[in-house]
Amino acid sequence: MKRSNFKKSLFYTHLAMAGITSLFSISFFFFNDSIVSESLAKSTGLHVSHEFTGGTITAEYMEEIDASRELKRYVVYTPVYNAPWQQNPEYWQLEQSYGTDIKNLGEISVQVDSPNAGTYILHIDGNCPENSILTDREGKFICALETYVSRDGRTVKTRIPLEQKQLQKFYTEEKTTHYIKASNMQQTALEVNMKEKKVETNSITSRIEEYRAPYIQLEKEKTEGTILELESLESESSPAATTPTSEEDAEFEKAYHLFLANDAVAAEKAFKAIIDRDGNNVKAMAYYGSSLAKHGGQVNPFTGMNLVNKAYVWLDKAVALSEGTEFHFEALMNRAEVSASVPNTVFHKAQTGAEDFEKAARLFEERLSSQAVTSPSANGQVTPDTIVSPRDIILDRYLWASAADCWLKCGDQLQASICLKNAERFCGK
Amino acid sequence: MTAISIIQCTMMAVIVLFFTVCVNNFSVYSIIYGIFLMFIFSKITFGEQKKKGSSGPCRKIAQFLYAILFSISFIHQLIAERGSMAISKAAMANAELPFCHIAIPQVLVPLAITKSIVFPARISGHYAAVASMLCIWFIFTLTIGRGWCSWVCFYGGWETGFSSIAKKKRINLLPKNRELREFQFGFFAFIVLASLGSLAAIYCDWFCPFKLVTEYIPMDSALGIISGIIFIGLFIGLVVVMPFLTKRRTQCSTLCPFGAFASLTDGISMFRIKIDTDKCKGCMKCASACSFGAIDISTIRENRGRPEITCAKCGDCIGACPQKAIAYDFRFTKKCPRPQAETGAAKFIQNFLDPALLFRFSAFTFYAIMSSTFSVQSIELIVQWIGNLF
Repeated sequence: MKRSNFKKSLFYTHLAMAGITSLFSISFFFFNDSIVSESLAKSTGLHVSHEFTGGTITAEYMEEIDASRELKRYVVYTPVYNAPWQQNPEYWQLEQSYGTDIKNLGEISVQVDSPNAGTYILHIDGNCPENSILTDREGKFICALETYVSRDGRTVKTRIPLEQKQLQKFYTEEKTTHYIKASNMQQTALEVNMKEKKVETNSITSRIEEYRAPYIQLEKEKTEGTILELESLESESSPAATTPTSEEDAEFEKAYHLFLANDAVAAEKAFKAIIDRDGNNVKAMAYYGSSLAKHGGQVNPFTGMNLVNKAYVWLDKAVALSEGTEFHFEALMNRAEVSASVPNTVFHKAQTGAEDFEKAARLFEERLSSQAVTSPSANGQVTPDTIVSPRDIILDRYLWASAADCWLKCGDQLQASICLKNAERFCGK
Repeated sequence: MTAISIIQCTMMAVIVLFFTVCVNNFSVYSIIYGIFLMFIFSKITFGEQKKKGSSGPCRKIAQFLYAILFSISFIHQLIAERGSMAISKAAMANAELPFCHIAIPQVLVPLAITKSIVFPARISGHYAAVASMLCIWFIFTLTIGRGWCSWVCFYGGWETGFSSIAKKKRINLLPKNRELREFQFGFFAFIVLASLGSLAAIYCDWFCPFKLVTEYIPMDSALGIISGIIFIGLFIGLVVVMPFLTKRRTQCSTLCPFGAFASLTDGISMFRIKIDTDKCKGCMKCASACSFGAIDISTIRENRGRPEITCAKCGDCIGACPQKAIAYDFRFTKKCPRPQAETGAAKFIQNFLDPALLFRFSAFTFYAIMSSTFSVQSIELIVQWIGNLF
């Protein structure tokens, strides 16, 4: 009797589990699909075989290589052999990222000196990259190069086919020296240890988390009331453009505190009241949009969708209207924060978020530079030490790291790593 | 039972409302597609109450339509991004190829050894990214198992459509079921080993016939032309002509490595098809109706009580059986048999959680969610094209 009861309860337990799995778990899984798959990618460190994407990185240089700041990144990969599905199964990839479209640079040349293989020059035609060639020091044609230009035109990947015997010496080369020349750039010599495989001690995702954490902590403290203002940023974006009265100021402060306290509904009403009275209050528009999105995250998915869509109407309006004013930074930040937090699979806003964060970071850095010009250091020189406070660094890093996070959500690892390098620029790693 | 169907339809309506209508921003096209999905699901659910196994035609129409709409939307996206259906060298070098479920069995063994994915696809953050497809594979393996092939696979929809056109079989493959199955698993083993040896997805490179309706390697070199001849030939032969002549899904049951892989992993899914050997009279109508060649003459003669390993749980055999001897069942009932329900509540629970109802609900949930984005986009495109014509 006891045995049959046990079997019965076992059956009903199985049945209940089957019911829950069939009726709810599939839709629940798809609802969280992006989070689950991103977690899988992060936790397992999944990556595509390097033979498809250019080999493993042996050296990576950032802006410090070029005083004119035209060349943002230069990457040297290890030579690859037997790569499947590629135009040339044996190749050596070099990658350059510029601050502008390579069309504006005309011809880019990279001279590679090596003790055994000799000296070769890569001639990359910015206007017609598919016509790029490799020559020797005397200008004698060696072979055509394989080039890929990114969609924004700023990054060019060049693959040197290593089928020729003379070029195959690069496989065993210990050291090479690279000289890059483009437009107004000062030619710089870069020593590359070909046998060194660059092992990232921290993965992109952990670095993103590391750089975002201090600002998030600051914001948390701010929410808790320990820090009421974020010094420089807050003071700069004081509501001057619309010249509100002090009463309006107080009203905005109240709404802003409601927003910080996560009371989205009350904040939403308060910001709406400000907009109803002053239809041009861009700052209120931006925060109203953010409040709507925040509210959207607290309700059922159907209402949430509508609220987020409505939020974007206001956020887009705030960004468009604030263009050229001092509120632009805040409008961008609001839209970027919303874009980074809503699921990309539903709203497809990760790219907008990345671009907004990048733009906000540049604006922020421009402001810092202009401050530096107006208040030079004792010896009259502008150096990072004189212009950048720890809080500025925290915010700047947060902006770039958040942009990197958004680019990762779009599947663009290259842009993500460029943003991360920018995050590390002010005070190094 | 009608009440149960109504409850299921209501639950499905919520899923469709969110994943089809809401996700597509309440567009008119999403509402049209949502209505279509609900019509199909209601027809399946209520139809099954009247006659078991009657959902076959609805499933076939839905899957064929999904295959067409998926291809339209996918090709449109490719052309918008690259200007052509041909895989661009830049997309290849930047690892931007969409990753489909067929590539999964080819990358798993190399992944275990090299710790990297031997396919140039995005890892995350994209609709056909590797991590996303691996998660989807895991969840459907646990639930519907190889039912994916007969209910959700957008490639299989093409074969479902072509195999349903002819009224009669011109070629009977039933006596060759076993050999075809052996060929499929042999070919699967070859593909896995070859992928490991070359560290590339060999099936995708050389044998996938669906390149003709998605993306293909540019035919600008001798290898490209050879590859083109192979995939066009395979599509015409195994996806169009053979299904038409045999009324079988020939590509899925002979060549597809994912089909073989899903058959091998189906043992962990919740559902199975059960043949009641006491009721079975050995008429072989089920074997004749099976489009995956999963019921042999020996399966029935030897009273195995279940179809062969390649069963895709489409349910065609259930409708074909005059003795009503075939049904969906839970896999756990093998070890934990169903008790006789004594109270009204227990009866209701057992009826509500009937394996056939739950399986169809799960399979249709996958179908509705996976098809929504592509189908809605395609409907919008078709309407635009028609609008441009007039």
